[in-house]
Amino acid sequence: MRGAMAWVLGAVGLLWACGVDNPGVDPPAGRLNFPVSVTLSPDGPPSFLFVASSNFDLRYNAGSVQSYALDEVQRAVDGCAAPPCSFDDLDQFVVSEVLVGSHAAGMDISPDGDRLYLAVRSETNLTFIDVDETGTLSCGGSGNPPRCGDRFRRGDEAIANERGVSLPADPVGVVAGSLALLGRDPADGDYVLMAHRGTTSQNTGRVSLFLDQAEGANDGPTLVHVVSGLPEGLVNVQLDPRGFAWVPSGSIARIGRVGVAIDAETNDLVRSFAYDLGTLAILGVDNGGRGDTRDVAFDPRPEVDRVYVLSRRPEAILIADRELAEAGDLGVVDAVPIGYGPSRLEIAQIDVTPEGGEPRTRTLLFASCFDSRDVWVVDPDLGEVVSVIRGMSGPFELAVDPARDLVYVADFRSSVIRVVDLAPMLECLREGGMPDGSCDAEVAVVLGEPRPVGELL
Amino acid sequence: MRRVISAAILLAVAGCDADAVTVQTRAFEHPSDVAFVCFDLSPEGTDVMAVPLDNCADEDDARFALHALVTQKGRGEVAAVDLAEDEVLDSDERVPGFTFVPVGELPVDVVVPRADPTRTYVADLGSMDVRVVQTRQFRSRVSATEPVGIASIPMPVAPTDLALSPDEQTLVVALPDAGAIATIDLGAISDETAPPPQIVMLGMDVPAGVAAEPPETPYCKVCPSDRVGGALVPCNETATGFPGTRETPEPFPPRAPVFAGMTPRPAHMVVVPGTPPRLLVADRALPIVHVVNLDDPSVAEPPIVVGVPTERLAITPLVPATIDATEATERFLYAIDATDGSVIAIRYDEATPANSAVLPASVRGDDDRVGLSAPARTIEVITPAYDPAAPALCDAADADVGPLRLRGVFLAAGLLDGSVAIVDVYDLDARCRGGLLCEDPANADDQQVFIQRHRPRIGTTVTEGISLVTTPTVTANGTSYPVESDGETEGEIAPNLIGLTCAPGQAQVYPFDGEAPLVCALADPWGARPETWTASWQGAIPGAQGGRARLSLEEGTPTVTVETAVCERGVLGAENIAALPSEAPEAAYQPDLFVITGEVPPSVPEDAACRSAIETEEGSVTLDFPIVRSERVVDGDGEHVLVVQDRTRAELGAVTFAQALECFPELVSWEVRVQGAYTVVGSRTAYQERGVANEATGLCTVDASLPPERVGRAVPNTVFDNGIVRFEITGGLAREDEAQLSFEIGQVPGELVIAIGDRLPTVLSHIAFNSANDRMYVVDTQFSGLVEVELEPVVRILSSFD
Repeated sequence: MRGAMAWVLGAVGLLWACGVDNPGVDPPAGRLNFPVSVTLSPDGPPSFLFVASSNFDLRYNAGSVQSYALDEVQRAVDGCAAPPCSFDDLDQFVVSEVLVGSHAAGMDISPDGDRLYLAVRSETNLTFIDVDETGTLSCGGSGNPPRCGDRFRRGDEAIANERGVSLPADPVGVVAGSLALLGRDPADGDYVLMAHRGTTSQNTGRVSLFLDQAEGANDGPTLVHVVSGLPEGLVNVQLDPRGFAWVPSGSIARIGRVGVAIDAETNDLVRSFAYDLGTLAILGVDNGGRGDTRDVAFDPRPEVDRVYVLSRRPEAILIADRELAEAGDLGVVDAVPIGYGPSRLEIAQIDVTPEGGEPRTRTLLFASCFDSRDVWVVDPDLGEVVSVIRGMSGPFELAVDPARDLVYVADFRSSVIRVVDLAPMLECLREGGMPDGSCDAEVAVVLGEPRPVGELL
Repeated sequence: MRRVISAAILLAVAGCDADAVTVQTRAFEHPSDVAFVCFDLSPEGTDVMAVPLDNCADEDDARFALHALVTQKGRGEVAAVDLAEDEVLDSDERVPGFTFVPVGELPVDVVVPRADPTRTYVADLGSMDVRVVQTRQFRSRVSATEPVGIASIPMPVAPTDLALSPDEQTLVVALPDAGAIATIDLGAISDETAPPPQIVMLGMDVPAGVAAEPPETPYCKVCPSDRVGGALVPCNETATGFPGTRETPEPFPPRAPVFAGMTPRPAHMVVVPGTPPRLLVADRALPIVHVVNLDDPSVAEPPIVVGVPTERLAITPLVPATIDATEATERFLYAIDATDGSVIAIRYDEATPANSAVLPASVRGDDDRVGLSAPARTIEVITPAYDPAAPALCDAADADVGPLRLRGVFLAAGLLDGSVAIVDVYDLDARCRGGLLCEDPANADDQQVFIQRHRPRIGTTVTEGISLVTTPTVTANGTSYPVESDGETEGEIAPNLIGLTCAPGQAQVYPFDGEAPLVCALADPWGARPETWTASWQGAIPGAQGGRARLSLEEGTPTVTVETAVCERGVLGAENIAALPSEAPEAAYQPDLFVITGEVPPSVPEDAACRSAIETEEGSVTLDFPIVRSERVVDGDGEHVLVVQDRTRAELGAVTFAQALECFPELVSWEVRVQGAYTVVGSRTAYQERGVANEATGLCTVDASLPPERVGRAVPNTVFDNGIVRFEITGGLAREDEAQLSFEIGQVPGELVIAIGDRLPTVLSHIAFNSANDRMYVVDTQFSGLVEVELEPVVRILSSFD
């Protein structure tokens, strides 16, 4: 016993000598370290890609957000004779970079494209970053890259405290929308919803409501309300075309939905709140006894009232027809099997107009599959997989750029961004046959030095 | 790689579940389709030969071995499974792990000609071609030393399905993106060359649908004595399946067509043998099934109008029209509705396919749909022991007949919920089931029999008719009381049930001992469900609630604006009810109540007068206001408005609307409750009302085109009958009372359902019937892989390969 105590004291002494107050290692500029989230600037065609690195292994003392000039990326793709072309040095692509807390869990951009919002798990806050038209990021702080200052981290504002609410732990996703979606004047600003996981039926999933960017007020987002009682095990949050939030659960076969009520007459933030719109049960699907959904996407065509749900049990994209659904039921009518470990889902309308032909678009779903290390492309109208994009290590979040026929994939396992060229696949869809001998979309460019981590292989 | 399932029958019959959980490594990767081939194993090494499939009919002949070829969409390969040895074949043992034969990107369909299986054809959606593979290569263990394919036939767009003509000379390819099919002359394929495909554009015309004529004699059998629980069951009552006019059946009208696009989008195809042989092509966009004469595909035939886009087809062989007939004269086509996964039954007209008509098939829900429990992903006709030239009817002394033995023609439907449902088409054992004349069955356990064409096969028998599981109970103000057999309850305020007469097609389900009925329920085994029903006094209307109600005094009129389409939920105010025709059951309703469910917000001062009126020392006062008028604002932006009646201070405990407005100046959560009635909800049947907004005025009213039994409120001292349950409950309760009647319906015959997943997630992609061994094979894209199902002597899962 005495020996053990001496050993512990010795170890403590050794730690002290090493400096327990060591601030850690700053991440070097231009380094991707477990990229977890990507989003495009909302201008069209998008000018910038924003990438959040989570610093999952805590090798550094911070995560990061970088903005990439997409014209430069396009040039790299165009100039690549033998794909994939790798670019370890990101200087030519990265326009700007800032440091944020570790373990970012989600990122979204304001509808105007002037502010990024991040859900940061390690600090349990909403971090926001201003973006200018050159893609430059700013969030106070100093250093190279600069570290976001306290003023850009939110969670305990006066209004929230007046209501007796505080930001719950374990944020897993964030989404931003214009209050115009909810029938307000665009000048009223934006709303931001952050999902919090929740672990049990008692400690339920929650969604926090922030308001931001009202005209004439630029103090940053303000926490206004938190709604609880949502399914536990939330993993993400998405907005539907009506501005309601959908929160899939990795634990049960239900999807939560959250509405936002902004008092139109009083115009008083205190009177705004988020509320439970009611969960939707995923019925009629064989999930083996436990549901697990990871993402949702909404068909952009106004005449198609369909919701696509990325499911891990079963591993498939579930197609739900909201017109056919009964109250409380998601209304699943079909399932398209995809790869293993589905993680994120994007939907895009791609121009497939043949040369000299009538304008034509095709709605395609892109599902990243972390475990099978690929991205599956699904035609929801056909109910079929139309391509599988391989050559990745750990695809997670992805962004589709229909203007450039590119897809940007955050490869978490190898800490790179993989740029997928859809051109071969789209060429086949546009012109028919295999004009270039292949119809496979392919990884054209790899941004960053691949640094695979053994534990994740 | 083979999982042998114990001899236990893995059937899930209406909710039963297996206990075993099996998890293991998968060799298959997204299997999607299966075809069968017979190999002659007598030659040595790579000289094994693919021979006509019928050679494998004798399982005891070791010279021949039946194999399954399974497309692996995730790997771009086709795997071979030796079904004789129960073994997944590794096509190249030099490579670690299982290797299969590479065939191109995203193989979606595989076809092996039955008579001349030398070559195998694979449609590749990703590679946009059809690969031609030497079939013997699937049996070879060293395929890497041989050329993989002898030809790749490029397609102009991605192919999604293959079909083979009866003479095996023409391969047809579905090309949805081109709105066309392609035909390939297989006789012109050599080791060096493959002919280019001939493209046939599909038509776009959508003629009027055809009304179905009722059959002279229905294909139906119900034993004993066509009665269950004292009530008539469908064989007599709705035997024709033609709803509405039971005694004098009329033609069944086709539904208005639904389009998912304006140009053809061919999906799955089936071939109908005959003269000429025809190809039927499902269309994902147009509400028709294309008909192609395979003798001359360039000549378009009029299509079959099915009313909706379809994605998959299955065609029966010719079958006899009735249970006792032996001459096969009828053929049926089944199709999966691409919009919702429901299944359509169509009587196929051999002479003029365009005269084929969609049949009524269900007693619940959509009349023109086969009543399945979940959307279908795949369908296939299975024909164990069936020879259309000479149907082998059962022997009356055969004691092995029963609901779990499948001999004849059936539709197998792979459902989204991971199970396979069986639908009766022609059962060779039907005449013997329950005894020849429903008397003295050779199988003494097979007393109760329910068989009807196009309806799910009943897989269990019950000794009693449909009944309640236990005595109904009434819970009043927190205490539960059983309802005695005379309908009385002992609670002081607990309501009683009143004796009544069951309607035709219903069975008495309570009391159990034959006294005057208190509760009746639908007796039809295909319409009834085991479920719990509750009737709640002044309960909330499901769906008529929300979080964004705004109170206002519009020109002094108490008004509430809400975000929910209240009309469609069935909300009715006094003016709405007064405007209804007196014969409408809803005309007896009392106006609904608008109820504020939110708490007074913190922004309202503690000393506000309204707060003290609401938050009394006895507790919070429920704020509810009778609805005068409910409507959807026609000229607005989709707002829904409730005009309510104010309360006066003269009413005990009343809070006026003005006080409510003072305390709820912001958006507030709300709900609507019925007044003077019970809301009736089934655990599997949603609350139903006929509510709708008048298109011109926006006022809430009822949709008179819907059946009058579509009601959700039980009015005291009035018979409640929603077509599923029927009872009458007494009144006498006060507004503030709480009471709930509940009862559970059980003893409902269960449908035959084969559970594939065994507690693992399942997405079924394909069902195939192999006539060489009379077995059914189910492809699951997830964990189960290829599942082999024996159909007689009883349905059971034999093994799975993954």
